[in-house]
Amino acid sequence: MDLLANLASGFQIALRPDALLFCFVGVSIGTLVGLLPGIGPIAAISMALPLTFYFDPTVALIMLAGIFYGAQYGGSIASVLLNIPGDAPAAVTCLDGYPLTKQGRAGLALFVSAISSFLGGSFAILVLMGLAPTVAAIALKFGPVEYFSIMLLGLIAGSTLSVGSPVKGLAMVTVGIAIGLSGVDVDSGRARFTFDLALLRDGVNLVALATGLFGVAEILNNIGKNAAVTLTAKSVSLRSMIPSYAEMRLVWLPTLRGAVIGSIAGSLPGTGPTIASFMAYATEKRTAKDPSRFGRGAIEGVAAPESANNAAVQAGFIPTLSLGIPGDGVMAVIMGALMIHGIAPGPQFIAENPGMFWGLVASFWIGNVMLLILNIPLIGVWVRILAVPYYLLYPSMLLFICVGVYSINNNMFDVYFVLLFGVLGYFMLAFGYPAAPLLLGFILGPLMEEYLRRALLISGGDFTVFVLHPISATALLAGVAVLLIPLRGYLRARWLEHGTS
Amino acid sequence: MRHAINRWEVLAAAALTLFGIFVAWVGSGYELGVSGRPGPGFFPVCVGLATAILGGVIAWLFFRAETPKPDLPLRPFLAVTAGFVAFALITERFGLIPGTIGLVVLSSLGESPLRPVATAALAIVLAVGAALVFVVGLKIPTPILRW
Repeated sequence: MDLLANLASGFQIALRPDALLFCFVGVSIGTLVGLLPGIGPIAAISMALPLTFYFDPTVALIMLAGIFYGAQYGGSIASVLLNIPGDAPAAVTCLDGYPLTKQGRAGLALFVSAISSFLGGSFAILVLMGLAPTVAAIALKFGPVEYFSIMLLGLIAGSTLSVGSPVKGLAMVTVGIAIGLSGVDVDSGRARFTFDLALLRDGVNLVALATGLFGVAEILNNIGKNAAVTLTAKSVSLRSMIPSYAEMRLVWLPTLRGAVIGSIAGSLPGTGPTIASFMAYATEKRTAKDPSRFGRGAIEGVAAPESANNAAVQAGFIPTLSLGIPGDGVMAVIMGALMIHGIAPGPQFIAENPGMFWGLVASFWIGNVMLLILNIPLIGVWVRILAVPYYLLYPSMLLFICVGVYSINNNMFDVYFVLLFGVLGYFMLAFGYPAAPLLLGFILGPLMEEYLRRALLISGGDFTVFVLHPISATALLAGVAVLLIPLRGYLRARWLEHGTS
Repeated sequence: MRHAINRWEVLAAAALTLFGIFVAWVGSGYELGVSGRPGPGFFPVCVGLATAILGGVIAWLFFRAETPKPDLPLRPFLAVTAGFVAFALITERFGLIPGTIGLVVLSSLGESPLRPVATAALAIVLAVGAALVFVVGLKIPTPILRW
């Protein structure tokens, strides 16, 4: 069978010593940053990015992807033990995970969360293996008109469906596109928005932008706010982790439902792991025989969202690798990393780099098994790391950011750029403007401009091509529909307000 | 009951609109081209105008929003800024070890209470570690120490 032969060739790459080593490094860093509140996968991936310039691109991709799915495992540890979500998708896990800890069943919650994460991730890898090559084959027929409209849909969905105000998300997309304009225009050779800085001729540095917005901004926001950490469960014994037969029976269906929800949410534009875990939790609560158990330590409330967020992470690679359209901020950084390595993600990606694609898929299996080992027998190590105080942590992270960014161009100006974007991100956090859409716009903006120009060149300046091509028209309609969802809610709220006053 | 005008939201939205106008204005300085062959200025003008309009929509929507005044403590902000500037200036003149010490010491001032012993220990460990990993190991072309 084709699929098995491909996967076998992928394992040959993923089992190479360097690939295994950096897969392990990636998932360990991922677990660590997922665990630590105030630093998420985007900051970690962009901090690690300069290091991967020294690697073979496949190994680089394996490691960066490992950080992303590793963070989903780590995020749940802090949620269960401390009631502090290590990152956004893990917030749902607090709802039932922490009550379980208070009942002295932390071990069970951690075990179920690791196993559900593993099963959800595995399910989505199967979906990825089946779907990505098919989607890519269809997308090969797309022209610039289709691409422009699908990217527009991706940006609209990615900015309005996330948490926070949809309009502010949209505004951040356009700001991101504007920042992405800086540099020499490929088409005309003209330097735009470079303000006579030689450094800006290649455009704003992705690492400086991402570490500033997600690393420095979060640090600025967290300094002084981290109360001393008190661990309810000082240590977790292996024995306390093993669930009973009854508990296992309770968990397997929610895990499966979570995996399906996560795989769908992950492969659609704009709906990443955070939305997937919220949806999975809501579904369990709605279908439960006794919904009142939720929020008081229902083990299904841990299993379903954990399965869903891992599935969404793995499925998120479908649109990125087969269409070249990332669904959220993390995938945008991974796609940016690929482009820095000289590889263009898109429908040709799998056909032109089969070794890289199947090697990555194989590394997902290996990485998830590593994470299972890291998260069940070695849980005690992570619990101890949670106790490292923030005043030691944040100067270390700042140093890593500074040196990493400096090393890219050996230019101190990049360090000032990080600071600039850090301050921007700090203000954005304070005023409720989401940063992930900015990153999406920054990555997709230059591609959209290119497709728009080509589309107009082919049509002779006729804008109606975008509505006359059926696939493009469908994407635009879907974009309008996504825009109308929040508008409907807003108008309804207005109407109710006027009705009562 | 009508709420007071939310100054903070309106200010942020105004900054957004100004930024959009700036982008469109700079963009209009490049050739706009014709619709069959858009020039390098066409897309920037569109993006700038879209940003400016969205700023207007946000100002309208959040004009009387009840969101609280944003919490922007000055101390971490100053400490981290000083740390970054110190790192950039000191590393270029004196090398990575003093630059790292400058960054760690200054940025540590952001959190209270101050912990001089822990910070000094951290600065030394990180300075030596960074020199070993980045300069000796990864061969980043920056001096470790010079005067």
